[in-house]
Amino acid sequence: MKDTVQKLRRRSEKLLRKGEVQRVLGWRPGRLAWQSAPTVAESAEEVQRLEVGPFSAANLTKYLIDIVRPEHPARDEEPPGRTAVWARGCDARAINRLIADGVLDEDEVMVLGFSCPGIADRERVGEVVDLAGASCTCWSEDGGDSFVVHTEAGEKQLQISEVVADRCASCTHPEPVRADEHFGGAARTADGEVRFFALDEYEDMDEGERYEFWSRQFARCIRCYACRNVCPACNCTECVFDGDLPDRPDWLGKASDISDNQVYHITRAFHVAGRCIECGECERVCPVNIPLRAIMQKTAADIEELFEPHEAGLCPDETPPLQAYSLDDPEVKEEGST
Amino acid sequence: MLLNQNCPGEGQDLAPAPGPDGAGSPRSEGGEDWTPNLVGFCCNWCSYAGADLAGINRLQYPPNLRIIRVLCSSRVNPMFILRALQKGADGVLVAGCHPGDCHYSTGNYYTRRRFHIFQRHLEFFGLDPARVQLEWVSAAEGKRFADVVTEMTERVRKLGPNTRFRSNLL
Repeated sequence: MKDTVQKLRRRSEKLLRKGEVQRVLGWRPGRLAWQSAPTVAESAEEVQRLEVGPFSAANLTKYLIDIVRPEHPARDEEPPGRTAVWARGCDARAINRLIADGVLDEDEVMVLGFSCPGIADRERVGEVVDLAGASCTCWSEDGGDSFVVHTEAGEKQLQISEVVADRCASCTHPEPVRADEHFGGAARTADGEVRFFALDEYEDMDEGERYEFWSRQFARCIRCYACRNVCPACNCTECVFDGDLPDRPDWLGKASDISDNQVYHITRAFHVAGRCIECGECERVCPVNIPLRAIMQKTAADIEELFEPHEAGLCPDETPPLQAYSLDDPEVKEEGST
Repeated sequence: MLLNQNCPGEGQDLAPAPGPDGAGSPRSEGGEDWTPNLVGFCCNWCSYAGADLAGINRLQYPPNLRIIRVLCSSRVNPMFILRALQKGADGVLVAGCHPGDCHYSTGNYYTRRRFHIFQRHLEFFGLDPARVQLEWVSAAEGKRFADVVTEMTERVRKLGPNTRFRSNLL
């Protein structure tokens, strides 16, 4: 991975110098060894800060909306020009999502793709290394997906595959599905068989247990809307949950009520059903650890079972399954579907 | 016009549905004479006319369903259903034209897909799918409308009052 990052930097520098792109969107090292922050480089010098580390978890595509959407307050007077994005499989699928939803034009973005080895899970790394005392994490010299954690006690070399985050373990597209240029990398072996493994633990629960389980989860929700704000499929200009919009019904109470939390999560899940690219960002950013990815996996599994095999974001002109129909769709049975 | 004259603009708790004898029954008890509150979203072109026909023909069916007319079953936003459950409905019926008969050609095909996924969502979160149903009733099927309402009332009556997703802030 080390030489891939070098290649990405060199190319980004060149693009900025030539003025082919106005900015490059990537990650930079965070303050702590297990952090990595999204960042924008607007000059060749700033590109040197960019990196892809074992903890570069954030999906960058939501920032593209801030850059290109004309009415967005974050955008200044100048036309946005072209933005280059360092992209893995999930980032590339998210870019397809934005193009399919009409948020982004294809010529507004340039995808610098690389194959993704997966993202390291902080807790799993923390089990084998003392991350609190670590000074930095970087890719090891011998290539592939191995990385080194430098701590006061010495160095510890790890393979990403040993400590990979769950969402990356179920990833089906570590290769960028859309890339203007491709820069190598170390693709994690995709195993389609394990796409829905997050659902295993819900299979044995009965209805009452599921209600108890999810009520407990949603009772913790502080409705910070981080899951909505980070989601590439949640790209409406005006959101139904922002009740202060004029001439709109207030669909969701503002008081702290479990019922409203439940309604929020059911509705959010339904709004992105069939358009979710399964990047798992919702679950990562949740401050109270609600297993949101399972909800989206369940929806994707239902769509596969009832209608057609579908993975969102594989091409920029797809029709989401819930915006389509087939004459042969199964009827909804009176006693429910299972 | 008349429909909206007294609408306070905010969802109100549904008053207890009258029992078969016309007397109200306490809704918190799941006793023998408890009857459910049902909300029905009926499409203007088929199911609402089907309900009309049931009335014209003087067909008897339980008075537990409160009908809300919508222009098409695909007009039913899932948040309508959630709001009904939050505010005290024990079951929600969505009724539209038979597939192929939609006044707008394709609306009910979309409904079928969306409803299927939505019902499975609710099931995943722990609601009995029998409480939330989709039925096709044509304008000529007054008898079928009466049967659908009778069956659904009976099914939800057996399940008892719904407490799931109910708002505590009524």
